[in-house]
Amino acid sequence: MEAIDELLEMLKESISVGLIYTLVELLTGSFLISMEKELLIVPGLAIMLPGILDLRGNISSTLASRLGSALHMGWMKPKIALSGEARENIIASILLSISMNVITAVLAFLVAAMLGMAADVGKLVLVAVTAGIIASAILMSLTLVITVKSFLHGWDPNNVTIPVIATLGDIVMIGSLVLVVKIFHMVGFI
Amino acid sequence: MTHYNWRTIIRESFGPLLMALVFSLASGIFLNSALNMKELIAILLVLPAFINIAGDISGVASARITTAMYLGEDNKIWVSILGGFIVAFVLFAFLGVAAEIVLNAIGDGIGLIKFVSITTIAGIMATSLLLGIALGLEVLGRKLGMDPSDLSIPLLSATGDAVGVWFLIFTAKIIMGV
Repeated sequence: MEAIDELLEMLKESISVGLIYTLVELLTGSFLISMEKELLIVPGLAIMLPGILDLRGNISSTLASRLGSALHMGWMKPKIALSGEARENIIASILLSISMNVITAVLAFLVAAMLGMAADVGKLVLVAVTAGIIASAILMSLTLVITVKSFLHGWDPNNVTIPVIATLGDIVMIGSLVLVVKIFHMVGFI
Repeated sequence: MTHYNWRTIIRESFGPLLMALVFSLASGIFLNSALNMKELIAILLVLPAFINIAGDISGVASARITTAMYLGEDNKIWVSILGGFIVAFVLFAFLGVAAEIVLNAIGDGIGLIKFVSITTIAGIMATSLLLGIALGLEVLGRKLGMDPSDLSIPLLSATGDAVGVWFLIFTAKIIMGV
């Protein structure tokens, strides 16, 4: 009987949380749909898309986790300012974002070329880096604010910031990509 | 003197990020192969949720299996696997229903039965493979004398996305008859 109780408990928790994030991720999917035309027009964009989303999640989560540790350990004062620990962490995250997005775009270009597609490495790098900078600016500010605010409220920032940023991360990143691709396409850059 | 230093953070993060990136290029190649499909829009709509559900179920199951193995409670391993399949069935079917409603709201749906079949069949296949990998890695981790979590969680998250994208596109192609 204990096994059945445990199974029911697992189902209750996993399904209730799952239903909520499924709906949020459908919203992300709706943003992705609005990029359908651009995915077809810009060769290689689809190849680099999963990598860019994945990097965003990894870089933001590790930033949130380090800021959480810094607050818990008392290395960092709980205030929203770009100094000390927050400054080092945000500089690292921005540089990682930019360099990783350049690498993603170049690798996506190489794969596209191997698949015989007419991809343009300059355009892919331009899109990846511009969208990456916009999304980073938004997500890193949010990470700092949410981490500090939740700490001040007496919550554990690790439990709050990572799920919030992971969920918002995809939406913000896809939103920035859609915006950048549409604007660049409109002005004839891509 | 701060505890964290941006140079150290970059040096330590670069390798793992690069490895994750190489795996996600595989997802990118699969996604690229779906671009000529008429049903591309349906796939794009469910893709983020699909990957998230598959990754979440296998990640949770993997963590639970590790804990059960440490505690020597073998029956809990099967509870975690059975539970993983039930959660997968409910969430993937729900995703198909919700996505068909969204598609109908913004244009033409692909049919409720078809959409639910695609997300559920692809989801159960992806879940089976990922849970199989999770269980295999747990056993392997123990044999190698590592904490299984250190092995299975990064490997599962690296393979999970590519497996998810591939099964989703493969199933959609068969069910939509393209």
